[in-house]
Amino acid sequence: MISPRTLRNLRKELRSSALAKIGIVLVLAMILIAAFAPFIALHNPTNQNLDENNLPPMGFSRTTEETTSEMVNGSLELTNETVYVNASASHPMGTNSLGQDVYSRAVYGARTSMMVGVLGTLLAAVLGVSVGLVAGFYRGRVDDALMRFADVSLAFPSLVLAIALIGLWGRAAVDVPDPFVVLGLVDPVRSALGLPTGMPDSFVLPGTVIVVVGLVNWVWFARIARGEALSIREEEYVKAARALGASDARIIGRHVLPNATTPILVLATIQVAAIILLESSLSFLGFSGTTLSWGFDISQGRAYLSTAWWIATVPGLAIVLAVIGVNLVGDWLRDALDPGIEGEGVSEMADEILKVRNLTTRFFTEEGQVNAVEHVDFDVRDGEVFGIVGESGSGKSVTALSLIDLVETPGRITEGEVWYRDADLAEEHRDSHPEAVDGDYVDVRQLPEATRRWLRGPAFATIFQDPMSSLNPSITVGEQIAEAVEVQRRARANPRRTRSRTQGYGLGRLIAGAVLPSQSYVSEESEERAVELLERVGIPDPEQRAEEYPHEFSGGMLQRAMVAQALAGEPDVLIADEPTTALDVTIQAQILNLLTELQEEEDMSVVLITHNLGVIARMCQRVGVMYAGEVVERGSLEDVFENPVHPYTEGLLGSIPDIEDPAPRLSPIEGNVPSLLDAEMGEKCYFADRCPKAMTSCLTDIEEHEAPAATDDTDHLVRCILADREYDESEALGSAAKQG
Amino acid sequence: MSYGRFLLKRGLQGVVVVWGVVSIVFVLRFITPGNAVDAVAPLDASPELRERIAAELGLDQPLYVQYLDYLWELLNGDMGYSYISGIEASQMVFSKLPATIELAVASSIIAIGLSIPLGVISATRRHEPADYAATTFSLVGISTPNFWLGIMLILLLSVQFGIFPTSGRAFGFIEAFRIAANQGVGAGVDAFYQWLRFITLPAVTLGTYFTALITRLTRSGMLEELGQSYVRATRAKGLPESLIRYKHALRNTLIPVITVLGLQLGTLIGGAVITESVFSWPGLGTTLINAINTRDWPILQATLVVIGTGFVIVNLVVDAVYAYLDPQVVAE
Repeated sequence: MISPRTLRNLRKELRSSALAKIGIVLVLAMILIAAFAPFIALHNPTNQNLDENNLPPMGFSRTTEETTSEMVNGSLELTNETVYVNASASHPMGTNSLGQDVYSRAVYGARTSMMVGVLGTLLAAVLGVSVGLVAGFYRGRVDDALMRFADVSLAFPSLVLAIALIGLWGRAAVDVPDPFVVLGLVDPVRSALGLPTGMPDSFVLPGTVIVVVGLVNWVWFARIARGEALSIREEEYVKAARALGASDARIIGRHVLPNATTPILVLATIQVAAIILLESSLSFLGFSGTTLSWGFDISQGRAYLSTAWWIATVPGLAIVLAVIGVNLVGDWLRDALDPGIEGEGVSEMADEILKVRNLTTRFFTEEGQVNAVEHVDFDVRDGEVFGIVGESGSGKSVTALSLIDLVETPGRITEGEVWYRDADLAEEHRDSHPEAVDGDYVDVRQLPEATRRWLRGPAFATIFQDPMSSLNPSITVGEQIAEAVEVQRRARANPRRTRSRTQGYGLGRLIAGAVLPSQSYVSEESEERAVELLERVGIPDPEQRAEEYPHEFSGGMLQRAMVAQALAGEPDVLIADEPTTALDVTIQAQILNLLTELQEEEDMSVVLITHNLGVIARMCQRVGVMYAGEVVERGSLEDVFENPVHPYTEGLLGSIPDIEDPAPRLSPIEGNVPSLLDAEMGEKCYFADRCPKAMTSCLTDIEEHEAPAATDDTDHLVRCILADREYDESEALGSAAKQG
Repeated sequence: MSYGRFLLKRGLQGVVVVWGVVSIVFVLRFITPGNAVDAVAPLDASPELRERIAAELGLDQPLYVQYLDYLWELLNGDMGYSYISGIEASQMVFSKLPATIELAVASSIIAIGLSIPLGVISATRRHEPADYAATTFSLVGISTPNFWLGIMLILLLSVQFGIFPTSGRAFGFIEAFRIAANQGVGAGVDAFYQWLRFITLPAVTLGTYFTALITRLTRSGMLEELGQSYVRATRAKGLPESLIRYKHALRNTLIPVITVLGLQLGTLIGGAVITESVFSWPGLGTTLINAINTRDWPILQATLVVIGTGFVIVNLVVDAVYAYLDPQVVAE
């Protein structure tokens, strides 16, 4: 049920999280104290000694007024005297009002807490999982009835229901013989340690409490088990197993239960913590079958708060530490078994709007440094569509995000320049940031953060792959587009100042805006503009569609809306990261047509990132081919597609089946994209391992070389020695040569 | 589906759940050992007297008649008379209700007011001192039994420093208003001050667990939302960070937080029961425990019905807010 991968995740999470370690130590300590209580306690926790009651803990003392009476000259005289009561070494945490040892009671209290916590959770889990599995697996009326019952029982707070049930049923308890006493181990060991003997020979298990906490907490397990059963039931392999005639019991046991283990385990941990708290509340209120319980001791100590604060304090601290421990273990399990939040994996002069130089982006993960983008150079010209093509994992998308400075942790742009042409901006920063200005160009990476952010929208706009996840599901499409308009409108009112983008829109109005439409961030003009933009991208009935939410749109319409949103800032460069990958083939063509049309009309430059060579061939004037984080070949579409030099480009083009001449060109590249882990990448051509024409000098020569170009207009640059020389079989590189 | 139809559907479902609640309370009585007659009759009662009492209480009728009678009486607001004091159960319970609502509302205000900013700060300043402080607070907060916290607060703030009274409730919020209206502003201010002095410790005690819980939920939800693609897309269109955080991410974070709040409402009421007991707060919780200890069935029954129904009503409100915030809920 627990796979090696799960174990690995658990270990990994444990290594990296100090809190998980603390949790495990606390829980282990609690289990050991509970198990070996007869050896750890200093006294029999139930032994009373009224001569030594309310003794303070070590390091404290307590004063008390003592009245003595004396017969003086025939009359009774009373004298009040302040007496100091000092701590006793044999009671390090003091004694309670009956003279019982506070420490020993806390030790035995751990037993009650643990037993009730574990047994109660077990009962709740068995009940809840059975009910949930049956309900989820059979669905229909059984499911309805069980889930309605669950709803109803949730309407009673668990503490209220538990009090009512225990109050009505009584407080039955079971005496369980202490195994160590039965084995005759306790007295000999204690006398050897010099501790007083005569420990209790049995342990009181509050039976009713265990049954009741199980009964009031089963619903949570039922809900989770039901959800898992419902979803797993629909899996193909479960349907197949049914079709093959496997019995229901077998399917539940073999398929449903193992899959539900993880969430049930996490819930069980949380429930142990909840039940420990519930048990202490019950015993505090006097609804328990035993008096050896932390909650009971706290209720006893309450009466002595002003004289003997330790009676209530010590058991309370014990509860807090125990529950913190269990909660931390629960967090550890949840983080290890359900890794939710992870970083996501991740794109020339005068007429060039964008010049990218030596751009390098790295991801600093636990496995090591990942070189996602390595020394990438390329230019984007005015009004052109520049394509970046490569297999998944080649670094295309990270390149796109690096351009707009939206690489998320653990990723970081470590090197490189992104020169963007904007004469005004250059003039403005010439004095304050001379290193960031070169002629009409500014290096976006060296501009202050606020200015960089200001560029998103009017300079660079981005369309992402999946339109559905790129829009906030709970805000209307129209409003989200209007926000993009509004932010530029406000920015224009006071250019170059980031604060102006929220001008007059503080936190108070932000909160008010959540409720009152009149306080909204977007103005009416922006809303109208949003409708225009929707119309512009060919969405029929734009006024009505603007009022709709993303889930009411089809994929194609949503991508159109994303394009509209990108147009809001009238950008110079539109970065389209796999804009059609998530769409149907027919819709893809429509979106591409729309992009071409808009690019021409708005005179934007487009950086189009895709793995689809057909899209590149159709849309782009110039193209860069990426492999293992590097641009291995770039130039005009004609140079790169008709006369590829790099064997990778050749292979990539070869992997598109040619309808007219299928046989000779269908030659998929052997092997996979190499690991981008820094540790595993040497200083060599990364394609050498897969390259059919690899030579020994490929291990040393990794420079970009100039290759013949069809026109003078564009350079054709290749990161391969074949640009300079012919392939020579005598220098072939071992194994790769055989593959070739 | 329109929002109105959605509310109507949820309302009807709520009615069914309330019916389930009152039926469970009815069943509870019959799976209880001991006889109601024992609770009322004197120990040396003759068989004739016992029969008379049984007839009086309707216990000689067939079960389904008793059940229908019970439902009919509930519909008429009749929940019987206390076996102990003879006071009408509904009157007794409704007179205690304001104190409990006051406590629950006060602690919810503390909890929501503190936890959401705390969770947001924690998520947006990840791995900074503020985040560590907030996560430590929330871990300790969800791990501390509230009755013990209450006792420690009494020990420190009442016994040691004498800032707050140790227990009890001077008068209700509404009475404080009445005093202000009848006796002038000075007396009114004094009345509110007294009210605040008494309610502070119980409200903090009850609110701490929820503050901690919502802080945790807000933090993790916010972190998850900030990692979503739409946040990246929103950044790409140039929206300022404050708008991304508070308008986009926080709104989506609050949606699941509200659901959990609805589900945890039971814990709030359960917590109120024990908090009332610690501070001798004269509310439903104290009434419930007294009723159980004295086996005063009508009072117990009335308390359970009111608590269960209250839970269902508040959850309906939560559902309505939820559907307002998340338009996808109505569509499904």
